[in-house]
Amino acid sequence: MATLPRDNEHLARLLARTAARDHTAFTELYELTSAHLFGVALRILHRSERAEEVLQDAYVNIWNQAGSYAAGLSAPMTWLSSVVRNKALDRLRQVRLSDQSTVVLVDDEGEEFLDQVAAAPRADPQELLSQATEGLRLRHCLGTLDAPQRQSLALAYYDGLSHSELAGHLHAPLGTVKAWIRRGLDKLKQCLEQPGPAAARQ
Amino acid sequence: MDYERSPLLDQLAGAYVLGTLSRRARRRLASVAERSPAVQRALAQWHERLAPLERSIPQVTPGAHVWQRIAQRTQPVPAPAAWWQRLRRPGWSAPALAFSLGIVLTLGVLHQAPQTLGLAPIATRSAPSYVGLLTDASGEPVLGASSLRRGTVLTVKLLKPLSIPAGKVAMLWALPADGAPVPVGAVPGSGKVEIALGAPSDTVFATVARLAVSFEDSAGAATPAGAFVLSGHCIKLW
Repeated sequence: MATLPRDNEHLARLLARTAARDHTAFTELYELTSAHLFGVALRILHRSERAEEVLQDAYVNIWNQAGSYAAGLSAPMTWLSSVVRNKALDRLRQVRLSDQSTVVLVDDEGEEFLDQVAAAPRADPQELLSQATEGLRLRHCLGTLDAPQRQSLALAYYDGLSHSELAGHLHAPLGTVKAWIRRGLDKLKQCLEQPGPAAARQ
Repeated sequence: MDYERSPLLDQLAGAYVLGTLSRRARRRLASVAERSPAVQRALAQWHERLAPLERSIPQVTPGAHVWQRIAQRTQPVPAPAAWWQRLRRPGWSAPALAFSLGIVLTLGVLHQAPQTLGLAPIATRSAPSYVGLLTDASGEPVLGASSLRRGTVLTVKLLKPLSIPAGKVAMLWALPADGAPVPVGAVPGSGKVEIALGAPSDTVFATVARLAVSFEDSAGAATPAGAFVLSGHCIKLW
């Protein structure tokens, strides 16, 4: 439970059994993947009760829609985390909309948040980007991007900032930020698609 | 429009997975993806490309209560035994069974009132259930729905034919008191249908104040695009 599960075949089998309404398989799937997925939700949403709600909804979705997992399209862990990430981002957009009119300093949620911040200082997105790609081809490809492109990709991925939030954060016009993201993703894709040493592809 | 071949699709899919799209754009792309394998593929490819970035996010074990709530919402709940099945439990001697059956049958017949709509199984006393009666714009009842409190099936009966426009699907929605409509399933233009719920009624309908029907392009719609043509209160009976 403490390590990122690498056994894709096993996870794919658990998903197939989950699709067949095997609750024991679903339980094992949760045990193997929930710590990673909770980390993902928490990183985006910051507050544990929001991340818990998203995690619950995500696993209920996974239980109901395990049959729609297409093994040919993505690795099981990628599919699972896409369910969580999508829900977390949707929730974040919803929350930011309602938070705009309220300045949260210290209410119940605020206090819990401060506790968490105190307990676990959040890593800088750029740092996470660098740690994540250690030894990967992706690192080489990220290296081909301009600094603002790389920075906006990291902020978007790890902190869930939207185009307009990025523009505010980076003090740049919206059009410029959109272009950074678009060109950054384009370059990344092209670089990843070039034939390269298989070992570096992870 | 051949959006499936457009380079714009790939850009949108990348921005979606990265997380930079606005709420509205996210929802629109997600609803297009439900019907388009090309969009699903573009999204899956971007998820796969960016997946390694998750490696550095610290794992956090969620509290035990999280799993308990998930299990509550996913554990298959056995459908409540019908009265005749309850009688077959061990411990009932044959004469007692026959005697009771006689009484129960008599009571059952006495209680088969004509207004039961033939929806949920009715024992001698109606079981706790959720019930909805949906009317059209003129207030005419068109659709009845009911589900046992702990059941996982919603029985829907058309009380009069509903004319569904060609190429459209009539979708039933649960409208929570405080939240977005939740799709329940497709309903036919006439007759009766049983819709399997993803969870027991108690979970699905606990906060649902109203039910409504709209015409959609596909049964996979996540949010109602059309206007509600039928609607009514969803009440619990116990």
